[in-house]
Amino acid sequence: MVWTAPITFYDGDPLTAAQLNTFVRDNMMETGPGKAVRDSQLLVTDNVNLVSPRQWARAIDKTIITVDSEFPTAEGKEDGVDDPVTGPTVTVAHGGAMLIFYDARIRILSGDASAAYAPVVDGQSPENTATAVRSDHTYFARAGSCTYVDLGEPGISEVSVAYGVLNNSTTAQYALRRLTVLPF
Amino acid sequence: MAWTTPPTFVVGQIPTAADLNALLRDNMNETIPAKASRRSGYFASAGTNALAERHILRATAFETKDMTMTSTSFASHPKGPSLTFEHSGSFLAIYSARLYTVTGSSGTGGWCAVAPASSEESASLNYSVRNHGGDDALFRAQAQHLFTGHTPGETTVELQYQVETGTGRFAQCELIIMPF
Repeated sequence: MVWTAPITFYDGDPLTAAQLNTFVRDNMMETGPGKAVRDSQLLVTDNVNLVSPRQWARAIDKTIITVDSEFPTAEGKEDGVDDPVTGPTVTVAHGGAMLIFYDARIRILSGDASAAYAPVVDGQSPENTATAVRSDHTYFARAGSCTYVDLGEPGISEVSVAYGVLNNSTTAQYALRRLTVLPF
Repeated sequence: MAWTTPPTFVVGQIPTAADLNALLRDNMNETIPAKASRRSGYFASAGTNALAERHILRATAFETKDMTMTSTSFASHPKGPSLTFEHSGSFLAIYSARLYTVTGSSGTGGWCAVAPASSEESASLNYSVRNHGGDDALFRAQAQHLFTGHTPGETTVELQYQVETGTGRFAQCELIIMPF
């Protein structure tokens, strides 16, 4: 179904079944209650006169991971750096944009450089460390951040978190890693 | 157009063209699908029986900014970041930055802080993200603040900076606004 702009009625014009089906039935099915199929979804705009439900996604990985590989920037990936350690991961349907919250407990286990982690969307490494959470602490502390990603096109995306260190002689640990995505 | 509270029809009543225009045209044009204009938006109430389409906005100032301050209040930076947007009286600001005090060592040097300021509400240490110097160099911190009670309309929000003593270094600052 699609939304049809309501017409203007005039006295003397009979209201037809076709008009009722178009302007009452079909248009009602395009409104929020007509689109809702389950609880806890957010209704967002998908295009002109088009509304769609979106589902929050959240994943938590409680395992402690130890990482000594270079932080996976796009530049590093071009140089043949191994695929980064990632996770947790969620898959979301979106209209082109998403709000991503990410946090973890993070520390340096050995070495004197920084630990860093950042969200990745559809396997694309961050262009740089701009959205990365970084730490030089030797004790575990929870740190997180949030970013808004606009891909420009609707679709289904895999969102994950990638981990690394900013000097490959350093080893970092990450624990109780959490990822929450609100698609728009 | 404006929303009209639907009347109760009684048996034998024949809806007039005016009834149909009010209920099937004008009220339908006040619903979300009628007002939706582009992707990735959402709707917030904009008063009694009124809805407005809103969109999340993001601005960044990734470059490193050193600020030496003697004032005890927050100050703007030419790089911002800042955002101007429409709202119905409230909006959520989510902000993060990497920051530390260049001068002084951890625990003994002054702190530096980042917080959002709107045209109607000054930045506050109460909800700022803060860091000191030393080992915590350029640690990323993130927070959020719900602005409420603003005059509906257009507002500009920017990240502002404060240093207790000495020079603060701020980098990779990000401001996200979710207007309501």
